[in-house]
Amino acid sequence: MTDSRKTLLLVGASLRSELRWASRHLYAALVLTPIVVGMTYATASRFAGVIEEWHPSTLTVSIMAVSLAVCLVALSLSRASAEIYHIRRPESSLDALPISASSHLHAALLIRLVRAAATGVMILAAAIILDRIDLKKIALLVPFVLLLALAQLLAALNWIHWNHRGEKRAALFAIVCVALASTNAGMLMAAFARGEVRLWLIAASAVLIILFYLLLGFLHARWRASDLEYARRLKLAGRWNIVSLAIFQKRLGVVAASQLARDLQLTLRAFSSAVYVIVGLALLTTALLATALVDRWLPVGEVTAWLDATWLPSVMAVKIACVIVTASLVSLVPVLIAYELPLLWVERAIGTTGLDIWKAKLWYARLVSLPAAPLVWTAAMLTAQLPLNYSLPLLLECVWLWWMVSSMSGAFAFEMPTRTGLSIVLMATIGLGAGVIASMLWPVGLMVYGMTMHSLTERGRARTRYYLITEEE
Amino acid sequence: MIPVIEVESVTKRYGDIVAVDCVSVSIERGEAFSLIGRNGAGKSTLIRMITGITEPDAGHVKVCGEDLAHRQVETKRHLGYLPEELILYERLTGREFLKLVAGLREADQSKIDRELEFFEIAHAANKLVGGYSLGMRKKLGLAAAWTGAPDVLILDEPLNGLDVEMMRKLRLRIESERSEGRAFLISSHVMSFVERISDRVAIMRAGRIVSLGSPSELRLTAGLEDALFEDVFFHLAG
Repeated sequence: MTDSRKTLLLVGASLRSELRWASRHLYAALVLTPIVVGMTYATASRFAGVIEEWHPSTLTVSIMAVSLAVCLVALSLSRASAEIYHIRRPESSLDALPISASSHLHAALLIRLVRAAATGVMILAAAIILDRIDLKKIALLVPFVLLLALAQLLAALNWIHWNHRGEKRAALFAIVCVALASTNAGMLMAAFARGEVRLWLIAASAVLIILFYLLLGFLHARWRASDLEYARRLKLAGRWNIVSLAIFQKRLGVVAASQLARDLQLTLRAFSSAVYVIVGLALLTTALLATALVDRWLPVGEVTAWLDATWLPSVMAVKIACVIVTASLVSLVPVLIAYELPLLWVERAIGTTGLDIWKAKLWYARLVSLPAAPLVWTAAMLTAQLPLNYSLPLLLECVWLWWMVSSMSGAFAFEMPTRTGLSIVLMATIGLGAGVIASMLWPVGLMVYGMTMHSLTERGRARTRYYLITEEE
Repeated sequence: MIPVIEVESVTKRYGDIVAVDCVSVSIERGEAFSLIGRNGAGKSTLIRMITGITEPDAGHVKVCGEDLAHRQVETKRHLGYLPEELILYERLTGREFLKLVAGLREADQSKIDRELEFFEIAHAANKLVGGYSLGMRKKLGLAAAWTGAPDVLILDEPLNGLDVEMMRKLRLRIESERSEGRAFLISSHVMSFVERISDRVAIMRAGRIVSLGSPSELRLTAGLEDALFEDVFFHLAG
């Protein structure tokens, strides 16, 4: 039997398994997905209308696209390494079978290509919404998808090898390769967004795709078998400990506080590469805000009364940045839940209630995003572009926005526990929507919070309990 | 006669920890060989190197005379393996999983039903694995290991989750197939099973084989001829 047939068998098993999962989650597919997609579409369309007149320079688009490509590579490190090394995956039960290393690699590559293609479809959808699409340029997305998938696997392979062996030369070479692939993928994305076809870019992409494919095959054959055991037992050099959570025991009870302590401990020990990416996104947003304030990208507003400062463009920018940073940090919740699902038997075995689990995740959302308000406020104040007499009310507004966004998004922690991507979109949409309204008029936010939080608590408790009992969404 | 498994001075390290330290051992055709030792003694790591899942840092593994490092796919055809940590496709049925294994082994799919019958999971063969109990999953893993009639069966903790009846059935099958020339490498903590089934037993401690011989030879070495085999193990494992 040829290697390609074995590859197809491996991919077919994964695909069949995924399709069965989808058919058993019709509620998510038929009800929640359209809601989330619809909300995202409405928000994106509104955003598109706002930025209709915005025509960024080639450099700006390229930098944004390359940054996005780098984020996509970094965000996939955990998942791509699991696909290569079969960590906690059913393919691990097939490792001892007579399957060549290249069949395993090609199966992982095909699975990654499907995921990268999903990203390509999202970019295409964004381009349609923004009305910046030239259908002839869709072909640019093909090399983008190929390069992205190759970069993700190459990065994951090197990430595990670096952790295991610590070879500086190999790591440096890998960083250069991944940077090259991400830059090229980003430039393809930028070219697609601007509707430009550059032959040299396509030629360079084709060369890089062939080179990286060969390199991936070579490194996979050389490293996988020796690094596999390390990947399974991934050891962390550092052990960060957090302060006692006795303070929360009184409010949450011992059970929920213990879970909260575990969740924070896992985050500090970077249970997933998503932790780095999300913290990076939060810092990037803060840096972008500081740059916008220093470079005076925003129009100067007029203040007629002290409290009017709340509607100054610069003050609004700070508040919206605070909402974005909070929502970014809260998106760690679904990633953590996906990580913990196979370990949920601990909670089940000791009879933990749905309310305890939900409360722990709600407080995790609040605590993990706690740095948002002070971070954004401090960065904004350091630019000296804000009215000094409004600094304290602005801090209070930021704190309120953090509390509201983290609470309202965190309340949906167990809405779709097994659908991480969709859950992130749902939580971010709710958090951003509520946050932006409250940024414009904080009393409205207070009203929304007061009116909804009780129902959200009830729903969160019921959803968590339902999942705990049935393992269904 | 060429041993079916030949391990030559195999070593595996994880950072500063030596999981397997220069171990050499060979298993003959028709032999049942058991590896015993405390948790962390290096049994599973040694098994994973013999199955070609992980690479030794030093030394060689030969299967039916062929070096595993040089001809991975060909040599793996001789091996059937039940891993200790069994992660299965939750949303495939038992039959579909065995068909996948048979396909990947290029084995005869018509024998799948026989294995399903033997391991008493034929009634659940068309149900998703996600609904299987621990024992049923173990039986499915065992059926997968036997699929393709390999020359050597490597079973890491085969008894976990099995009921007494199935344990007995498994022991009788191993005994009968041994006489037909099939070799077995078994790692287990159930000492009575190990003593009854094994031609030779290797006791591992801190990555090394500290005692090797037939159960009766180990009894003699320990000077505990009438004691439980468990006591023999404690005496020799230190």
